[in-house]
Amino acid sequence: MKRIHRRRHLAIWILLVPIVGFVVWRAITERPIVPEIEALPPSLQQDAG
Amino acid sequence: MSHDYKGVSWTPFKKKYDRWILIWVALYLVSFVVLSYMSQPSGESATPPQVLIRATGTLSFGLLTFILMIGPLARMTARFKPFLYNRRHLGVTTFLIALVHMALVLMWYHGFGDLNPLVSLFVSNPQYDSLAGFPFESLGFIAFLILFLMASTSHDFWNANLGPGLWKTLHMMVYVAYGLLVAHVALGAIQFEKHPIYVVALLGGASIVAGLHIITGLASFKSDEKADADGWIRVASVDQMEDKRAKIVRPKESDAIAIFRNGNLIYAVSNVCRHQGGPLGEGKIVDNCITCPWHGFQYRMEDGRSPEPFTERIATYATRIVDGVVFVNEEANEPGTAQAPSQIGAAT
Repeated sequence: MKRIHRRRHLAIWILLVPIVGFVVWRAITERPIVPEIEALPPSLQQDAG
Repeated sequence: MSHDYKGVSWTPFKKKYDRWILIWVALYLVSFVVLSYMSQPSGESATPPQVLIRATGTLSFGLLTFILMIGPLARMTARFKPFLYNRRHLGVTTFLIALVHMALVLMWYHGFGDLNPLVSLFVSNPQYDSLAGFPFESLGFIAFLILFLMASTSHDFWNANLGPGLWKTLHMMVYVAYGLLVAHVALGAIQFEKHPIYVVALLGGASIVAGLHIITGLASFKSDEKADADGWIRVASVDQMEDKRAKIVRPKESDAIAIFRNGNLIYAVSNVCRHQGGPLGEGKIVDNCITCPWHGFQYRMEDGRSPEPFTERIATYATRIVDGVVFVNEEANEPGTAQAPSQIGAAT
């Protein structure tokens, strides 16, 4: 690989990692948590429903 | 190698490699479909198109993840070099599977309304200002367009017509496509699929790909060789130079150099093949010509010119042997310039 391509290649990855990493981190932490109603105790099932 | 455009020919190895790709793709798709139905909780019923959308989506993402690991892994161990030399076929296969995935999505989720499915893909979910609710399909579509551009220009015809520099730049867009696909999966499948395997596979795959590229990228600059005041760089002792093979050195300020031994003679040429930038130093001498390991382009050792009637030229470099150690000068001759070799055993 030419030296200029090695530089570009590394620059792209150094830029991509924080941008995509941020999106993935937010996507995972903001995931909607849907409780399995059937798995809840009966007293909570009514509230959850 | 060509005085005009000439396609790269199929070899028995490439045919065998393609057969293995097809077998693995078929095995994955069948296994995914069977396991999906076997592990489906009672009361839930995924339709065949939905199962196929998941199967083709996970397969194309997994294949692209593997393809992007091949480059850095081949730099770390020679075992991955056969994959590197045949990576294009795997890339086109990935595109075709992504095409099936996208066609199924357009038909199944956007094909029954009044809107054109392509318009519907971009406007049916307008939450462009939300992260968790972001219309992730649009990211997948942009990545698909990049893969389409790459697959359609992957043939040697386009390499010859666009030129190696522009072609390489265009194909580096695969990294952008991969970033978009990671976001597409994180904002799509990860939001709906409850099984933790999806999160683990996404994070694991993307982290390994990014880590490998950054680590090998940084390492390649660290291992750059510094020349002495007269521009000479130490290559290796004569005993370490294998006949018909090369050592590669990477000067700090210029492109890599391949130093070949042919019997008792030492030659040095640019490490970069004129065809697609293949690493000539990983090839060998065949019929008295340096032969690129990627597609078999050939160059004469003494002047860096392809044998007649071909017209490609690469730079040559001066070499010398001092006390049984081979040195190369970092100053490149004009491509195609004759350069006398150093002779092992001659007085220095």
